[in-house]
Amino acid sequence: MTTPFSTLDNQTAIVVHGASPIGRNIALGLVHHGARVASIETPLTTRADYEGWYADVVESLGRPSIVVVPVLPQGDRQPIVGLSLDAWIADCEQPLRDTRNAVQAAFGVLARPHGNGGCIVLVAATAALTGETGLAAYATACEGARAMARVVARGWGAHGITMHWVGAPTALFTNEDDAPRMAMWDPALGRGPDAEHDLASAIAALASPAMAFATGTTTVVDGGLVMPT
Amino acid sequence: MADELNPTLAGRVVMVTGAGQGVGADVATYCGMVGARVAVTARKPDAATAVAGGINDAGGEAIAIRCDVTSRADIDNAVAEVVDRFGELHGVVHNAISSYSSQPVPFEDVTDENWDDQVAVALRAAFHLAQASFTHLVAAKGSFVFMLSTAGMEGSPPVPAYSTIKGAQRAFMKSMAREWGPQGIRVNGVAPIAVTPAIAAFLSREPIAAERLAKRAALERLGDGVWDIGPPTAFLLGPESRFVTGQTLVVNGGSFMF
Repeated sequence: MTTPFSTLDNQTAIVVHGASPIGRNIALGLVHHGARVASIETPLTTRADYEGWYADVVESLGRPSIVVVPVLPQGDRQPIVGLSLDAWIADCEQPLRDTRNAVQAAFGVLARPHGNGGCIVLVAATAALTGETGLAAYATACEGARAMARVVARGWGAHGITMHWVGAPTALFTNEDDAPRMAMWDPALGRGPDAEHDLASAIAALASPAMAFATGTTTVVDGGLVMPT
Repeated sequence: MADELNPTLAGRVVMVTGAGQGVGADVATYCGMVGARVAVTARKPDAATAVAGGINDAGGEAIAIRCDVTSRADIDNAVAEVVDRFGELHGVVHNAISSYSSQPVPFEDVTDENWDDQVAVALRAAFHLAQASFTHLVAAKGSFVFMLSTAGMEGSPPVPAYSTIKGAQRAFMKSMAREWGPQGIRVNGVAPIAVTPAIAAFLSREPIAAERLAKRAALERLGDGVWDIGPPTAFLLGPESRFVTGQTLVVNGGSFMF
């Protein structure tokens, strides 16, 4: 799978939520691209937890240059009117806070002059772009992550850090076999992505030297299903 | 000038959060000028009373309600009081923002306290306000409008937490629009740039941003809350936007063009 365009040889990547299906597949895919990958598999909630794990990675695999953070839902589809406060927190506030913690902690290991710079990629559902019935809370977290990628890219560029948001079909995150269709047309490429190959390749490309001058981007990897304006 | 306005919201009841000052007060004022019965809600009751008094003095009809949107009970009570006083509820404008929102803090230094307050006011309050107003908006085939921000669309580095959370509101707005469309409720957002106390405070601390902001707008000025932001908001609240839902109306004088 390694290509000259996206080779990650000699780079260390951290993949948060590596125990989730999407996290595991992204981690595997980045290994195919030549990276040393640290998969953080424990559900974490605090910045201090992330900082501890990142410090362990620096010690065991070397200073990372890539941090990948999937934004994950916790519950099932529910309409807004029937959503409990606990369910709202679990699907909106907690994933957004978790993403913030993972990103804030990354500053300490990536930012120059102490770090060597690097790339942070948030991976979330395209429900962020389309809105989605029954997933209002989770879509809100995903779009918050997209806004976070843009504003942090602006703030941390001077520290040698680039940041991107990668969107993938919502069903990859919710693990639904019968997710409602939000797009009018079939995917242009005739299929949906698989995380190990398609998503990881896009992330590897964004983190590669070839894309060093791109930051704050939205990249949708769905085979041409949702084409955001 | 008010005498020349079309009463586009005549007979409608509109509730505005965070309406004690700034864009919220301005939008509430304009809604009153175009015929709406307005519920001016704010955390500080004196501020709400002053804005409602101004609307009434100008010949409109408004009531003031104390409402801290971080309290579910306050939101439920406010909605109940609106319906008790006016008998119905056609439009909700969620405008309230946290006092942290205009305080410049680098992303790496954003604290839990700062973050939690902004989430509580902008996001959790939107969720609670949506639940509290739903049955009334169904009955009225009403309209819900979020006051968004271009900071959530292009990113404003001095206020990264605010940018993140205002961006997040857009997906909630779109999802609400999809869920509530079948009941005839429309849900949209306005992303304004207008002179408000919060913007003025922000720009006084960020002179470079102030200079760039004024130069960048095609209309070469910042907006006026009543006359520039009020009409587009009233449009989204009223019948003339009957086929518009899930959209963000950027009202920034042609500053950033999305």
